[in-house]
Amino acid sequence: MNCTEFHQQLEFCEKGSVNSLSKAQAEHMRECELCEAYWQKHVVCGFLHAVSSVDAPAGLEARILAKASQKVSENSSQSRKVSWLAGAVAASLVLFSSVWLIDLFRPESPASEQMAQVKVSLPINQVSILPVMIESPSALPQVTISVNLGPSLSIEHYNGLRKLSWQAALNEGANIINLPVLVASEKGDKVIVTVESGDEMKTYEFLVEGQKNSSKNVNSINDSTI
Amino acid sequence: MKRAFSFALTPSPITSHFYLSVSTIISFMHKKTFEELFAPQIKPLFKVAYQWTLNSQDAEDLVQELALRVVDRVDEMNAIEKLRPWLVKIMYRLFVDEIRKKNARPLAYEHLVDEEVMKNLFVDSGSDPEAIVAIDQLGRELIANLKQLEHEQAVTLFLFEVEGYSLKEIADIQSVSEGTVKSRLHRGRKIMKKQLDTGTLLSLDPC
Ligand SMILES: [Zn+2]
Repeated sequence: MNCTEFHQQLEFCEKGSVNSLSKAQAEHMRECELCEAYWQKHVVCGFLHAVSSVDAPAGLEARILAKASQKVSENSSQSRKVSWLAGAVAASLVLFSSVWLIDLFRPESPASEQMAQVKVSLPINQVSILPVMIESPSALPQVTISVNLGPSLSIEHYNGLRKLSWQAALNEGANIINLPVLVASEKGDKVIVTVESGDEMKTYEFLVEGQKNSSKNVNSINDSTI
Repeated sequence: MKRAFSFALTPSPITSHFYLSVSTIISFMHKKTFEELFAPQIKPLFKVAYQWTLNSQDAEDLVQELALRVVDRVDEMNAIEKLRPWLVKIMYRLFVDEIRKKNARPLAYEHLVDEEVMKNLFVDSGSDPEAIVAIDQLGRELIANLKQLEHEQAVTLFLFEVEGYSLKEIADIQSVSEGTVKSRLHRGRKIMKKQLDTGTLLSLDPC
């Protein structure tokens, strides 16, 4: 066996697996310091790979993300309490006084109260894009938006999940969220949207009704390039 | 400005975490959420943390601690081009702090349970009893060597040999010069090669 053959035999390998070294290789190594050094390096590297080949425990990602988001919500509820006690309610109203959540197709009907009711009709048993506009008086770099749907509504692909929460940055002016909503009954249900920014929080509510015939006001889910 | 976006869910403790795969267009989402940014990093980070701790629970705790540290830094995370080394660097600082807190000696793996590591070695040893004995012997020698590494050396070795980081990247992660990284690699390898002789008739293959 020569050095090239020795190296070639070592190259055939899987990550972190353990193979027998052939007799020919062993004999060659006894006479060749270079190949012995090469083998040692190979063994150490293989060992380090093998040591690292551990499976992540089940549910790892869920546990880690759940605790992280719990910290975020604890922090925001704490600061909200402080803000309230410090009498910052006025500031809250100033901040959000012109943040309105409206039906995109009736842009002239802003919900200017803390709790606003807007009614929207969507076809039953069909996924429709429900556009929601948030108008912000200034850019807000970090807000938390939560959407809660009543039992007869769901978000497409969610298998009955009706509560979403995510962080976003709001631009000054209009910001659009397109929610792919499925309405299960004519009665429809409520959609509650909460926008939190720093110490402040504002809740909006609107009603989604089920409609037997499809409405002109909604876009099919297939048209995802609105 | 419009941009395709998939929602990241805040996971409930019962259901496992998942993403909403709906392609939704949200005009204000110029930035990714924490979940979007961090979720794909969890498993690779766990592997790195495991290399440093050689214990699943400690590795998970380390990644958890990291998540709690960076969850408020979404803007920064969005701006970073290479997120993994940035996260590994913060995780390394947490790891070093943890070692200091426990007042542990520089040996990273002094509490290492040999059998835990041995499990990982018997991937493809076949049924040849001689080979099994030889692997066992080689494995135990290597574990004994591993326990002699200082944690800085061990971290350097794993980052370089297994994770494929460059000397420059490792220097940044460990906040030292490239020269220091080189000498840690050199000394680490030397310790790992101790007593490795050809009598074992075995090879442990890298990738
Ligand atoms: Zn040779």
